[in-house]
Amino acid sequence: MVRDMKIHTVLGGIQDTFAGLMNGHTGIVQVKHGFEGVAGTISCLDKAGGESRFESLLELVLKNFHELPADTLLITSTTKAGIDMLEKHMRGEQAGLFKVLPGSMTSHVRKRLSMNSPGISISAACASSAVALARGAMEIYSGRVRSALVVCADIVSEFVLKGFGALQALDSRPCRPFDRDRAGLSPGEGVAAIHLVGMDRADKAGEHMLGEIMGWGVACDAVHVTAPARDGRGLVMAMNASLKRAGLSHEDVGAVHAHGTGTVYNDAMELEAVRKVFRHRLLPVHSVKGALGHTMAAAGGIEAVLGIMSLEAGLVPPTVGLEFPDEKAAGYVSAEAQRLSGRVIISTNSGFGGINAALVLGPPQEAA
Amino acid sequence: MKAYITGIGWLTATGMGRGDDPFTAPYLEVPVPSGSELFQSPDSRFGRMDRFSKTGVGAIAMALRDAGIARNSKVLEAGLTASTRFGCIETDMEFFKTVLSEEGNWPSPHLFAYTLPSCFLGEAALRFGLTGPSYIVHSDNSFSLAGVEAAFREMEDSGIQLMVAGACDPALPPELEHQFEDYCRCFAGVAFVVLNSAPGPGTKRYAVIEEKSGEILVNNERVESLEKLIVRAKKL
Repeated sequence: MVRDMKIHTVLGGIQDTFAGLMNGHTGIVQVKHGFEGVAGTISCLDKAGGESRFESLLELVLKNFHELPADTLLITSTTKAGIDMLEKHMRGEQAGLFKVLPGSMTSHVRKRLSMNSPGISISAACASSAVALARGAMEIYSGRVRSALVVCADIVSEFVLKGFGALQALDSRPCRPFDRDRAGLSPGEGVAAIHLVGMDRADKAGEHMLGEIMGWGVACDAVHVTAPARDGRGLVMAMNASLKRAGLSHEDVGAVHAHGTGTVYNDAMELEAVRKVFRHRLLPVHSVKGALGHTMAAAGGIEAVLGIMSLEAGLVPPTVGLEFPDEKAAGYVSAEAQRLSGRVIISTNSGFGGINAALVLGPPQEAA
Repeated sequence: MKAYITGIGWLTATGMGRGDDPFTAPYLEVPVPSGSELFQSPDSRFGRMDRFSKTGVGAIAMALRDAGIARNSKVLEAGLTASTRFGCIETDMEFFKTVLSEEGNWPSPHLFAYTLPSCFLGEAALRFGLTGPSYIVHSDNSFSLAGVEAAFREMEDSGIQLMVAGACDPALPPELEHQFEDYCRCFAGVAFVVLNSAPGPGTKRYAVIEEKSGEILVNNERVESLEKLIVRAKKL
């Protein structure tokens, strides 16, 4: 069960982000931070001075986070942690490389929240936080732990912008997921912290739970390292595994919160996978990346939180940036908010290495 | 949860090895294997990988070969989990050098593709048709058991029968060592084991491995590192 959740994106905190999405806003603009590009960056991180923007980003969700039970397991995920420190180091400036290691994020969060758990840090490319949430849910359902905190974050840096640029994966304007004319992704900064507890602890606390991770699935395409399998095989396996784990059928699913990066091949692959899993049943499919940018390892966590917000609202936000839906996206995606057509949402992410992850998100169970 | 170790493979300063070959992991530079040393058929993509991925894929290939699993034999529902301390930081630096050179006009797309520590798992997955979960668990120590623990979680949770688990910790270049205060020159190398919860008849079995109360036991004896796990499994 999800006891608490916080996010911060280019559109703001949890309420501002969801409201911004519902109103069709985008935070992706031309940015200039010593590097230039089209991205969703969080302006208050510019005050980081000589420190990494990464720790300032984490602070946006760690500050005032509610007290955690002493036995809480910490799971973190990031692709590049404080990569801006590596940039400084290589320019001959004073900068500790320790902050570049994903494990340093775990140490930072552990100390900041005075946690006992040594914690683990998971890397699965852009599916990292979905895999981290799956691991957290797995630990809870198995009874090995009763409380888990998943924290995920990534910053935009010259490293990231130049890298995706070199791969010719960037749109020159804010990205347009599932659009006929989509031309690539837009990187974004974001962070999420999600506290999961077991049902017994939820009952005991007598608090209102926010939602539930009912199922999860992780699978590899085994086809290509940087390109998705065109037939969507890995994502199909991940979605089917998540539904099986949740004990649900595809008919129970009210919407797909897709990865929807805005790259030609990713979005085509996802539409193919959705058609296969839902057997041509039309259901709302949407992406937040035209509004928030691709938050890399934080994407799965942020999108899971927004999925739970969607469940509460009974609405899927518009796909911001969508102008002319791809022929194969017709009937699935919309530039308007859509009503949920079932009681749960599937949230999906895919990444380099051919990794795919799917989470089934549901409303909170009633206390026993 | 119990499983059998059905394959062992590694790549350390003493070279590539598997199964009953002598195993040591001294803190020395790990030689990078060539594709022809690892695979019978040509593998043009292997030569283009970064050093981290070549060593990782090399050790996985050795472990799978030891377990009798051939390359491209068929799609196999098997996962890959590995721990690492420093991941692909060397590749990150190589890539960023290309950003800084030539006024940043020609950053290498090729190097950027390997700036995620999990990429080598994808490379191994596509060569051996492994479609299960694959991910990296970062650790504060080299040759940690975090990858093996993750494999147990996946086997227990999803019922997946086969996992390839290990650690990818080649030695850091000397110029980077001083950057990390508590840097330990303990082990260096890459090692993987194949875990099978229900091996068929005729399958090689080195030892029984189990997780009990958060500890990894090899034939009932607790092990604290991947190096000790391999030494113990090979003794039996």
